[in-house]
Amino acid sequence: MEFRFTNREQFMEKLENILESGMSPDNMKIVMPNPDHEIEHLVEHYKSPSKLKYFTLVGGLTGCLTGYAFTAWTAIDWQLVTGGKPFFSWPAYTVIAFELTILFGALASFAGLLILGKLPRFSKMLNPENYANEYVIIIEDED
Amino acid sequence: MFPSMKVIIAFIVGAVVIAGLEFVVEGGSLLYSMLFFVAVSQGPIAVAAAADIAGGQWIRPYKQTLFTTRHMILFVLILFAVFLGLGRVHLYEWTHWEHPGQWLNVPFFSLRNLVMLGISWVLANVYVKASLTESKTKNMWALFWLFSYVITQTLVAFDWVMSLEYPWISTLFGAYFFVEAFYCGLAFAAIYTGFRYQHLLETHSGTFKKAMMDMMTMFFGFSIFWGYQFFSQYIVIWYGNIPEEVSFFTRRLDVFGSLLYLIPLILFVIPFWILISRKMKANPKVVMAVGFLVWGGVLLERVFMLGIHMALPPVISAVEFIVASAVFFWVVKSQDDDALVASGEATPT
Amino acid sequence: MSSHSTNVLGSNVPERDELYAYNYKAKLEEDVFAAVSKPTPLFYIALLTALGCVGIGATSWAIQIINGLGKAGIMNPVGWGVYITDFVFWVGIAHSGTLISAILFLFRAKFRNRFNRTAEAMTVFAVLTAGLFPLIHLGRVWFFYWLFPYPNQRHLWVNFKSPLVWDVFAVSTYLTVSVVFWYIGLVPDLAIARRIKESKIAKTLYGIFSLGWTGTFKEWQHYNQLYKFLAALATPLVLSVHSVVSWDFAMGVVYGWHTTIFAPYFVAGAIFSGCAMVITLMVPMRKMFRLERYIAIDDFEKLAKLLMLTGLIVSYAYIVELALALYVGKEGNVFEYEQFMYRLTGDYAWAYWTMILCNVISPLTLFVRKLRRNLIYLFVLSIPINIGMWFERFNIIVISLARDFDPYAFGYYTPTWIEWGITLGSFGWFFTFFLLFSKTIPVLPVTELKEEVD
Repeated sequence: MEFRFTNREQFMEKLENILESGMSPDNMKIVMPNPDHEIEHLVEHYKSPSKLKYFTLVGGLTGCLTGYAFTAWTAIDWQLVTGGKPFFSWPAYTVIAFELTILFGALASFAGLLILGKLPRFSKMLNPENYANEYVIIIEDED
Repeated sequence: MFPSMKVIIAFIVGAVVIAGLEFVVEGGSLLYSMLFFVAVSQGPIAVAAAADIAGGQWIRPYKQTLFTTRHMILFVLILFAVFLGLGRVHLYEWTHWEHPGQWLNVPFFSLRNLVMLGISWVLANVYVKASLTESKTKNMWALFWLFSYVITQTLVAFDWVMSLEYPWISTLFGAYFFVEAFYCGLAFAAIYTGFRYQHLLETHSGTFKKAMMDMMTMFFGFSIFWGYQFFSQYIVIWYGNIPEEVSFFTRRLDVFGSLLYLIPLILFVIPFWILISRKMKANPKVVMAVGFLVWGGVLLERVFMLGIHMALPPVISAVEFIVASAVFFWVVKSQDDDALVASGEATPT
Repeated sequence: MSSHSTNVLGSNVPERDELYAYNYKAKLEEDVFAAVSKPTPLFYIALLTALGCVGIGATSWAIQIINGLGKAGIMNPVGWGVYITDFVFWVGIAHSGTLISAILFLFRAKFRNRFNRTAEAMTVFAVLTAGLFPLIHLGRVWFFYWLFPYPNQRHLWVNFKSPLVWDVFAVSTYLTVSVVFWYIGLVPDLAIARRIKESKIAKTLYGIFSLGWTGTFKEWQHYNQLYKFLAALATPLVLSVHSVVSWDFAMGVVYGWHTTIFAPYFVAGAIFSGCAMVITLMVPMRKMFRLERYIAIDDFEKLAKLLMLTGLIVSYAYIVELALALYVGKEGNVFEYEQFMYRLTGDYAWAYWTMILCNVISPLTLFVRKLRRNLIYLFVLSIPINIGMWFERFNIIVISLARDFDPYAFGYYTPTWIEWGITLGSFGWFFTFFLLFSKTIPVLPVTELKEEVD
């Protein structure tokens, strides 16, 4: 079954009806021309929010630890006093750890989108369905 | 817009008690209290003014309360006059110089600080009036007020604290103070949320939760910004390792030891990890606790700032601080109640 | 419903009917892609000019590589000159892109949607330009990889206590995160391009880069969260990058460099110059691409206010630095004092006062509402601000080095034509990228503007 709407309000009404009837959002495909927080709130009432934040968290913490560990290790691996500073100069290494926190956090989040959103989707790269700016609800038939 | 009779009486009583205590014991107790209250009196209004200029809707439920601290600027001005009147200015080493400097001399020091506190109090009142009546000139006065805020806080930083350490200088010190005062202002909003959560929820039904989340997100953001400023100052001084510059930290390390690490812990690490969670930001008791923690951190930091230069007799300092706090509480509460009566939301008791 | 969309469909649609949003979205796509599609002769002239500048820069650099760094004017005691000035200048230009796309996103300032695509593109290209300068500055550029910590037989690692190594990490992180952030915002728009473009090649290319985006709810759900997190990560990042750049100077014990305010002051300065550059680029672009419907004067006014704010912060920093040098005085710290006296009255006083005129005085005119709503005025003003910010870095770097502790080691630095050639080349390099961008990628964030109309 496929429902197409050019009007957002009508679409939301229909969507709400379907969801209230007990249909799980996982069993249907909703296509939207743009992100929409209201619709997101509506659907997330029936569906858990995105798990992407765990990617960010793990990535960020990994980056932070890597930053401190790597700088500390290189300082001890070949001990060389520079600038009269202690081997483990935490203020200096904080800068590196910070940058790596952001770098790993951002890359892990990006990976999160690719994994959770199942992208890139090669079959759709060249021959996508053309819904233009319509809102679409597709309910997969249960055979 | 002028302080009500109740507030004026509180000021007089407060000032007289504190002046009396100051007669008993010499030391930096008064300066200590002033340093805290200049931050918590100006910070909240700066938060409101910044939000007004940026057009932030989240300030609405808080605005009136944030404005109540404005008269505390006048109280700080009175305390500063007491400070001068009792000759406490001689706590500063430069007052004993044979040849007073062009910047560091008693008359100019007294004058510029009195004038700036006065101007900022007057501008705060003008701005508050413009803002509450939604006047067209609201943003202009907000901007002027912020100017006076930045200048006053910079003067407080450079004159009240940095001149104790002459010839030590840190160009960030002024910005450090006005950011910290802003942070204190947000902490004030957090504390108020804890006290009046039900009331706020009822009067601003529908919008308050969102406004609170935004306000606490700002609070969270400023915990990061505070950490950033602290680190920016620390790393330059640590790295440069110039004896006369690094003494700012080493002398304090000698006296207070690892207690100094409490400052970044209290003002950055703990608020950051608590407020990062959405759940915590929405919990009025938690944010109130964080607000008090931040105020406590600022108080402790002031101990470290002054402690190596002057005696801070613990009992007298505490008593003076409590007296000033009582005045602060009275000023905020009486005005907050007045505002409620005026808007018809509560009946006078 | 924002005011920008009310006049889009003209007077034949007096009220919002059921199809209003739908039609608006279609019209938006049409207008934005019309701007992207047809290169005019003017475009080719501009592109050729930019490439010509790149040629001049490349030739200059080649001369320097063949003959050695002596071809540049840098010489003891002034070892950092125009190259490092250019480096800081371009990193600074990059910053407003992230401010507009990330910080204003977190603040939910809607006007950012008019500028963010261009500003982010500017960020990426400016960092690409800035990244060249540390390399140009190397005597033996073929050893540039020594900057990175890679395992080697001698167990030698880079010195992580050096601010120059922090810079390698900060700038490369910044480039990576900016590219990711920009690209993520682009993916849904590239999917639209895939649908709209006629030619087979274009369809294929846009299709590949759109990752097969179909616009399902699930995709949008993860996309929204990712965008928010990237904004939250990019915000502290942008503070850190220019702070680290400032620490390249502030960590050194050179008066005029070693000062604590540098980090926030550099960040504000960076955003100041970046906003000026956004105005420089967007005013003509709006006109040429006929985007007047989507970018209102109000939006530019907000940008102008940002310019005022950051200009004031920068002015505050100038005043504080100078005031504290006077405050310590000769008795307190003779080096600090003399350094600032030299800035005000010495050999480079002309550069100092140019900076004051451009960065302190000229933005004050924006307090006049009429002026900050006048696009021609804004465009004209943005150019001296760019120049002033270039001079700010020049003053910090060169003046401080020209006079440090020992009078016997005072010096004077004059840039050579090689350095000016490379500087010109960097502008050409930046504009080449930018021009190519303006004809291949939607210059307005289509999906974000669509969201606004609902």
